[in-house]
Amino acid sequence: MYAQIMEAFSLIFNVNVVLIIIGGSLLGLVVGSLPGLSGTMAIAIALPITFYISPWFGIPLILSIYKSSQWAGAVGSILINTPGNAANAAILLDGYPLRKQGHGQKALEASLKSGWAADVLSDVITIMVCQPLAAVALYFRPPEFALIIVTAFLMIATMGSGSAIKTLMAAALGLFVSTFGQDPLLGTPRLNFNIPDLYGGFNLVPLLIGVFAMSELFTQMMDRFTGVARARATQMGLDVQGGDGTDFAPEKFEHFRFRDLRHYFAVWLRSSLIGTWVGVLPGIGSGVSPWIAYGVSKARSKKPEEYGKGSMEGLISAQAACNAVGGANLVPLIALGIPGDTTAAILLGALMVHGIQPGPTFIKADPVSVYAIFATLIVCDIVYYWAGKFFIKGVSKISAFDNTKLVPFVLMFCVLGTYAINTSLFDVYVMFAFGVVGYVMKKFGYSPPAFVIAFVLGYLFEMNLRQTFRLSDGRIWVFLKDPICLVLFALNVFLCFYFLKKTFDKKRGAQSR
Amino acid sequence: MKKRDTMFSALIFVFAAVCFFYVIPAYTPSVEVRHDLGPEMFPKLTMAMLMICSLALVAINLFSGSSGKNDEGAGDEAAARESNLQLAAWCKSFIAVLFYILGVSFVGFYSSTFVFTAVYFRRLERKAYAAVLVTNLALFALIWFGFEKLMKVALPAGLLF
Repeated sequence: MYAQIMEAFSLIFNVNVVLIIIGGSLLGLVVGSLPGLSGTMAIAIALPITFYISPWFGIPLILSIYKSSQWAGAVGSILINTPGNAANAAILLDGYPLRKQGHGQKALEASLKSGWAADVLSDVITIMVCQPLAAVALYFRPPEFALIIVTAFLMIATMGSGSAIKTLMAAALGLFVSTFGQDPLLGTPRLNFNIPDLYGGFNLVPLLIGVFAMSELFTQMMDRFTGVARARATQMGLDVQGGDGTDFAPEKFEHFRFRDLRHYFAVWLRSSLIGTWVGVLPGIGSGVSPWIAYGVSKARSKKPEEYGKGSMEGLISAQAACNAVGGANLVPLIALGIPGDTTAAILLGALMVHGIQPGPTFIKADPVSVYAIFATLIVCDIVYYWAGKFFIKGVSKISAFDNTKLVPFVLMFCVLGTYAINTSLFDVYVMFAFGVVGYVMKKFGYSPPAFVIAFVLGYLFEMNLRQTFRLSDGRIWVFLKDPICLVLFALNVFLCFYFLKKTFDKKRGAQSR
Repeated sequence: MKKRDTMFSALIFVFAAVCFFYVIPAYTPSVEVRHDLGPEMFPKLTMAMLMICSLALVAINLFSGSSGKNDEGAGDEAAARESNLQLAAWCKSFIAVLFYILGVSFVGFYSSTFVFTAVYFRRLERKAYAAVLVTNLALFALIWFGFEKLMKVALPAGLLF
């Protein structure tokens, strides 16, 4: 075993591979931070290159892009309220308010350090218990997945600081929008209105950019227009209410150090473990874990009222869970040959092209490759942390900008990012339409994140729920049949009562005041 | 605000009802598979949930009192003027972005973006205005190289470029 580990390390710990990892990390940081351009896109672009080079140059290249882009999505979320993917959408809940309060740089540094530490923890867990974890994950079947998604929905209910009914309505609308395109089980067309671009349903990225970035752009433009109109009205001697049209505090350029993380250690650890566990489950992906972790942290926090308004605890919780998925995602890939998400699927393709076949016998049959992958994870972690630190120094200057002056540039990148996914103008129109929807939702107090996460989980939820019914001949008590289901069911019932109690307590508190 | 909220909830109810009774059945072919919920069931469930919740919101707003009154104080002329400013600004923003996106489709990405930026920053002083336009052109060069040359993504050309 020692000789195999040394052989694997000799494959990875050399100048050429480290240079490739540095290049991949920088590419992942730049592409991942641009609105709409996810790490998956960068990996897809880099994939053909890996076919022509040695697997131990290609795999580090892909893993380094994957790791760095996973964190870099937080940059867009914090600075311009534009997430690169569903996982980063949870980060903007507190990241963007922090930037508005003048803590942009601090938020970026906190997200890098908490995310990186969670990533390292997840990698260590992956290396230590890869095989037993994968064996447990195998026991998860459609009923268990359906119940775990219900848990995520219940967590959504805690996200909104406003009305629980409105949060529920936003989630229902998100679920409805996820049903457009075709039936997930039968493949029959459904709600596509005979529009060819809708045959596959709505794309996630235009919807994400629309709901978060476009709606924010509308707000920024309104601030600018009302500011101008207000000044004109004041010149004419008319009295109008309102401020100066902008609610941004000047950037303070504060730092977040590793020792600051100790104040949030419990939140960070819990969220990292949630992220690691969700990452181990095949097919769930990184979109779910930040929301579950965020919901749990808020429910257990001493200051839940600060969540969504610029809570450092909320930001660290979402970021840790988001990054912890990174390493754990490789568990089902290495131990079972099942990719956990899109990036893992691309990585599987790259491995197979080079004759490396992950699966249940992979660890025993080819231990050098497995150890080499683990060693790559460690090097990628070290490199992307330092690359991220330098990257923050550059981009944090953006947080000193008045956001209304960034509008045309952000809008341009929103259109570019949306268009580039499928080179389709339809996606740009979809982004605009969901921008209007997002703005109206914000205006009337409906939760846009609840809408988005319901959209992300809708497909998985419907498929698993219907598969459950088909496999059990329509019997509903299948959810109470085996121990894992029973535990998840009990957890969901407990969460229901817990949140109902919290809602009534809140109402009673408001009445007594 | 409460009055607007009630009206908006009622509007959502109408939307959900139209989807439930007309749109979903009309655009979902009914397929019967044993022990399957079918393609119609899930969207219908979501719309039913939306209808129930919107009705609950309307009821809560109606029975919690002061639903007919405008909380913002309709008599306050300054507040009304601010509200008008907000509405006008929203319309302006909406139309500006709509025109930009239509411009990208019909005139071309680069020309539409340049015009949008030029119009958006028209109130800047001359030196800053020139700097913004030069920055815009530099970004165009980067975008052309990154997207069109490297990634081979042909951006919408439209009538111009």
